[in-house]
Amino acid sequence: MRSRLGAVWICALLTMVPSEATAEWTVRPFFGAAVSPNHGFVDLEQASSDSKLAWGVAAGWRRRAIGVEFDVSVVPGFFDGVDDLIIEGNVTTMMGNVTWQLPKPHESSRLRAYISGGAGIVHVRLEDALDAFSSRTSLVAGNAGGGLLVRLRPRLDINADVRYFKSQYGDVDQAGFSEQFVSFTRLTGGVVLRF
Amino acid sequence: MCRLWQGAVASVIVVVLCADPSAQLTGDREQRIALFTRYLEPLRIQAGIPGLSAAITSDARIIWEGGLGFADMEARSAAAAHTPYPVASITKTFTSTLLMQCVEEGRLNLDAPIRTFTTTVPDANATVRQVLAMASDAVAGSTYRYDGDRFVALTPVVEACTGVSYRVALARQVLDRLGMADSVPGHDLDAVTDAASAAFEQTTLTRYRAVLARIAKPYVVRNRRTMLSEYPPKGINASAGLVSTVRDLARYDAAIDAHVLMSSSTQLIAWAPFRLASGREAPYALGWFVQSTVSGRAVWHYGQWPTFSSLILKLPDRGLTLILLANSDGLSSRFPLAAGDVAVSPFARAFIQAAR
Repeated sequence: MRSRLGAVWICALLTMVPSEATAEWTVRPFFGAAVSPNHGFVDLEQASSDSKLAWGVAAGWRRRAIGVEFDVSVVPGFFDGVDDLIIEGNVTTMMGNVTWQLPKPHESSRLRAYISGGAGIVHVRLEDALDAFSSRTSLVAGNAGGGLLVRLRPRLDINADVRYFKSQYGDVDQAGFSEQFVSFTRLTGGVVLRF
Repeated sequence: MCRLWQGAVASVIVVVLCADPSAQLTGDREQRIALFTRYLEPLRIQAGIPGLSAAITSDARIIWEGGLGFADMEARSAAAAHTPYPVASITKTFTSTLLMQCVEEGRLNLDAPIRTFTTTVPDANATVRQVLAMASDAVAGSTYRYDGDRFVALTPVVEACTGVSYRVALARQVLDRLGMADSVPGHDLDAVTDAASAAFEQTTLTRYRAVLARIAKPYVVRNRRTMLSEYPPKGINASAGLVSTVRDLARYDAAIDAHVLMSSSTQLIAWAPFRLASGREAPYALGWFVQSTVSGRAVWHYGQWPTFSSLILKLPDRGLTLILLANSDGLSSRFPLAAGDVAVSPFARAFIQAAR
């Protein structure tokens, strides 16, 4: 508990330090929703089109307008509906992205837009009540999107991010209805800590 | 006398179907079967089936039956356990029953050349057994290949053995005997013809037409769009054509288990995998698929028309049977069932898991 409090204090202090314009490390925790999900797995709870909570963290490095970022997010109830036929149905994304910050509208603006895209892995973990269609599958995937950064302090921004994820098609799912794949749009908000 | 005897057999089936519930499934497996029934609706929707009727039997007693979706979408008529459907190739299991009865009575030798009865099978050396086992392709007995059209060659075999038309033999030897009152030996009996009048009594034809008036409507589902379509060919032969309900097929299932239709030793022969010339076992026996699963032996058959599909899956080691009838091809067309593994069907896969 003390170590967590200490980490929070260190992060808070770092946001007070003036930023260096050339290169910086960033950490971006975020929280939001996966909307318009679609997939090729069995849909036992008929929830394939329902929006789901999503959260994660991205860590990266940026020099001037160009940056790279490692983005990890989880959609814990990706396959869940109102029934209890799905015991566990998570989707985890792990992406390596390139980001490009667009020029500021004017020099004094605290607002910056960026676009981002990359590739990685979508890991699907599905366990149903009868264990008939349970699956642990990793699929190669890509994502692309963009967002806005609003500078609050020299080393602290708030962030809105939207990006579309789509995996490649894998093997035919155990239920036999379709080839396995996952796609969704992730809408998140968060903060960006810059070091 | 014959009617009395048939009534007695039907009564036995009723007693078996209505046996003491406490003697049936208990505990964990019962819960898992109950859980399985909740899988049916999402699987039905994902499979593109407008109307699905289902029955589950345990030790020859119906423990669950019901309908999901619509037998007639336009009229908003719900599918039910008493909804009649063309059962397609599940008819083949009835052909197996009729032929094995002939064998039991000494009126048919399964190893007789099929050419004795018909010239439609190209291989002159093919036997009735090989045609019944889907092993008459190429060099007879050498390979298994599911061929519904080839199976039609068994129609004259049944007729030669029983001395009556296939449909009459089916009605007399199985449907009437088991009290399958919602089953009709051929959708074409909805028309008034001299041949039908000569084959059946008027009261029977009236009953058949009443059943056929309730038959599920045929649908094609493409890209999540459901379209009313055409009924499959209405005639009946050894390969397809029976119209039935899941409730009636449960009676058939109970009769099989009670050895009402044939002795247990004959049933064992019918369910023994056919041994190919190479020594390898085919996934097909005599009119039934057979295989091993995590829930023991599976004896099963599927049916598929462009607008109807069906599945009967017996797990003899668990005393459980699943019967499904659908008014689209959704139970079968996406899954390579002809290859001989029932677990490629998500319905079967979930049921087998539930029965573990």
